[in-house]
Amino acid sequence: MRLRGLAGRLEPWILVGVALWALHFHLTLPGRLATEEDWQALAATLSREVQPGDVVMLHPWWTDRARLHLPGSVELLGDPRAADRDLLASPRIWLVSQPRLPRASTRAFLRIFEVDRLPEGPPRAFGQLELTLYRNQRARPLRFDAGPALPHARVWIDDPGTGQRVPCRRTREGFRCPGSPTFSVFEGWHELDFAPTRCIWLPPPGGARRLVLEFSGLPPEGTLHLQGGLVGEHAAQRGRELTPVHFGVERVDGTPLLEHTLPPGTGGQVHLTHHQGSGDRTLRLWSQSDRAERRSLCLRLRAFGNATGDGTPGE
Amino acid sequence: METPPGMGAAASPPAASAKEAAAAAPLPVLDRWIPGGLFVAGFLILLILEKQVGFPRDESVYFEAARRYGTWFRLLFSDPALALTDDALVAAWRYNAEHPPLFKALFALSHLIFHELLGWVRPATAFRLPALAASALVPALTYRLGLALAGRGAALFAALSFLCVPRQLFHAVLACFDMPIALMWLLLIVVFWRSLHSARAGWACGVVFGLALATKHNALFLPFVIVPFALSSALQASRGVPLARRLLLQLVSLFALVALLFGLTALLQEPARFKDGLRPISPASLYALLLVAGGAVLLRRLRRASAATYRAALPVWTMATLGPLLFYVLWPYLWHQPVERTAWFLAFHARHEHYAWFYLGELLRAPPFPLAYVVVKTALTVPTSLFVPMVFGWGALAVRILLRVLPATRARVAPLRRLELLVWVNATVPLLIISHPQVPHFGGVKHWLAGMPFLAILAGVSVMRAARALAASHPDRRLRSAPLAVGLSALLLLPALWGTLHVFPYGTAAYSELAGGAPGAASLGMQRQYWSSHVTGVLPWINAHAPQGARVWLHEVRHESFRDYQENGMLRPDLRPARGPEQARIAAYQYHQEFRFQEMDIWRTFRTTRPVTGLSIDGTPQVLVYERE
Repeated sequence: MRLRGLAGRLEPWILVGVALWALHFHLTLPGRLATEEDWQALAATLSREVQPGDVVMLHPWWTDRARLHLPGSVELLGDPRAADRDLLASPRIWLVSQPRLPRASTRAFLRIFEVDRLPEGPPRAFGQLELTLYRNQRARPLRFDAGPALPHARVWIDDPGTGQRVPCRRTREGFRCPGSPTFSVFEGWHELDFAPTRCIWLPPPGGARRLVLEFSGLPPEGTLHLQGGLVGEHAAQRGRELTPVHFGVERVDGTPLLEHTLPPGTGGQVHLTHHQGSGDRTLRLWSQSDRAERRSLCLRLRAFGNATGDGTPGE
Repeated sequence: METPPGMGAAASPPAASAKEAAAAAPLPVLDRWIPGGLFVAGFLILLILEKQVGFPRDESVYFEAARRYGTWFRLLFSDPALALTDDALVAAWRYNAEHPPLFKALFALSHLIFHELLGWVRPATAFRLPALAASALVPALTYRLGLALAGRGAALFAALSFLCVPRQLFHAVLACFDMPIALMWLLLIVVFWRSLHSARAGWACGVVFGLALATKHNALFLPFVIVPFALSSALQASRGVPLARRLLLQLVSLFALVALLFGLTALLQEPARFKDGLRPISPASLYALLLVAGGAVLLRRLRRASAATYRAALPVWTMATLGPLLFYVLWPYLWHQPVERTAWFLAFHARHEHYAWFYLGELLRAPPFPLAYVVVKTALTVPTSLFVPMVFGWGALAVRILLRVLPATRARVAPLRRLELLVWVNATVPLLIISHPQVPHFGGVKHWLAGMPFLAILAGVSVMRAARALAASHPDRRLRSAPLAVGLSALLLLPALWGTLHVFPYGTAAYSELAGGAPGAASLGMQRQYWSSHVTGVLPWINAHAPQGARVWLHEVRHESFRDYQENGMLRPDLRPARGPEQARIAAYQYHQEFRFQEMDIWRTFRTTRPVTGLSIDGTPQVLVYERE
């Protein structure tokens, strides 16, 4: 009963407090939001100072309204897990932050993002926006990227049943393979685990057949990175009609270097690495799934030098 | 405890006659006018606001259904014999048969009268008028029930606060069924409460239940919140009247017997055979007849034995008989094949698919869903200055119920009035139903809107209690609680109204102060929007910039909605809908976590990652417009 008396005395004051707090929230919210002018001023600065290979990290991750203003040439990272990503090919990262937004949790974000990343000066303010350039110490010299190298690749379908190799026809976009009219191989933007990712569309042909891409001109040594997964909602789908997707990288003699299997319902991005020093300059990327339906595989194959190497800076 | 005016507070048997007398007493003039005023004001406000709200995916389906029903109504006048054939009925009424027809039929009639015949309003407004009227009735009825429970102040706070919840205001203008079923739920509870004092209201319970069944399938849960109250009231009323008690038990046994017979028949047969066996001349018909006739005879005798027991038990019988009957009569699609088509309708909802739904950073795709989802979503979408009094009002009653249940504390707590319990149960059950981890969780708060008027009443109770406490604690005893109640109510309603107007007409993007508004909710990983109606934010740009005859892909917007935007003058008539970015010159992408890959489809097809314009709410992207380079 004493508790009831206390609750009775507190109830009005809590209600008054909540009402005042809610009013304060609405009164102050507009002042916490970035204006068009803020975005334009930041975009003008960024356009002047951005260098090839730079990327822009958005905080909070969902503020990709930035796309309306920032230069189209620079890659924007705005997805829930962006802060955690290595960004090996990007020695410089521009952080565009709105720390005064409700629930921005900037400290928690920086705890993850600033690992092995050093700010090159204090944040510059553009109204409610903050711009900070970071040196990405996780970056490695990019020696090979299968995406831009796709036009020079050889692409075919391996049929172990007949032992035949059926070549795919080169097109303006990439390659068109025999079978379905939409069965093509190309590089472009796809969503992997909610993140926009430039990757190679590598749909398995179905049955025991394998889609194979052969790349030449790889560095003789360094680290191979294979990243990818199933695109969009197909990744999360389950069902008896769906079969596991197998993919990997192998030498021309068929020796596997990297291999992985994605069972149905496996979302997320797969990251596989292989340290190679064998001098292989030609490698094959492949995919296979017993049934091809909704097995929309997209992969990104890159090779990096080591941190102290003098290779070309990132993309 | 103050005695509220109006229907009075039925309670323990000794006081019952006094309470009944209070209930029968006419309401003060003011309390008779306020609900009317609330209805008229609410209707006019909604009528003014509705033009700003886009056409959500489902609404255009209901527009289309109403168009087809309208065609049938015309046929009914021109050639009734043809209109009543199964072919004609199926042609008109099979479309969207997953939802009952009552409100779609009202949309159709409203469209025929107010647009086609009189030409007073645009097509969409004509379709929406019945929904606006239904929504405007909710605050009026909330007032009526609140008045009976806790007096004028609490009732008025509850009624006014109802449309100060952004998502409720948004749903209030749509020609959909979420607000109509909330109305029907509330109406049935009000009528049921009156039925304890009036046999006419007991008959009305059956009618309202039938209307509710013909509105939306949520009505199937209504017996679960009515029957226990009806039976406990009947048991209480029959105390000391042995004949009445005996007849009541016979009535209950009859219901149980019929349920058992149906249950056994269903269990012992294949579902398909059971379904096929439901014919006009069959054991099932005999069971139904037994319930109707046997129930009528028993109730007739019960009326003579104890009028109060009769009144309490009557709603159960009227709901069991008139409810299904009205459901059948009001749905022409069922007229020729009632069993098969009702079974399909029920099966559709029993196996409803699950749509992806972003919740606290996780994309929910399939059950089991988080148990706390409904409570969390309510907390993050109802304005905090309304949610907190709801919690206090609900919680205080929950504590009292608990203390009354525990033998050790029972004596220390005032007995609960039945109306308090009725309001509390109805504030809880709609939320509990959707909380079940296997129930589909998409659609924001609309699936438990039926509980919100009751929560609003409990919030009103909390606010009035707080005002009284403030007055009592003030050193100046002359300070009366009424002005304090007005001041406190205004203080609580102001931020809610502010937030509601700020986000309108983009209701599905509304998040509370507790969430941090739209930006806070985006950081929390909540569903940013749904139903596609926010596209209205970019239609002016498309109208101004799209080349003549251009193909436009309005992502997530149904082709019926595309046509409706054109028909209602919101989208240029020369523009043509595209099925995807490949065909389109302009694409408007609606931000959904699960559809992110479709934005990338636009990037690839249009060869750009840069939108040309967009709609943001407090910085959160809702719709992004891309133009082919």
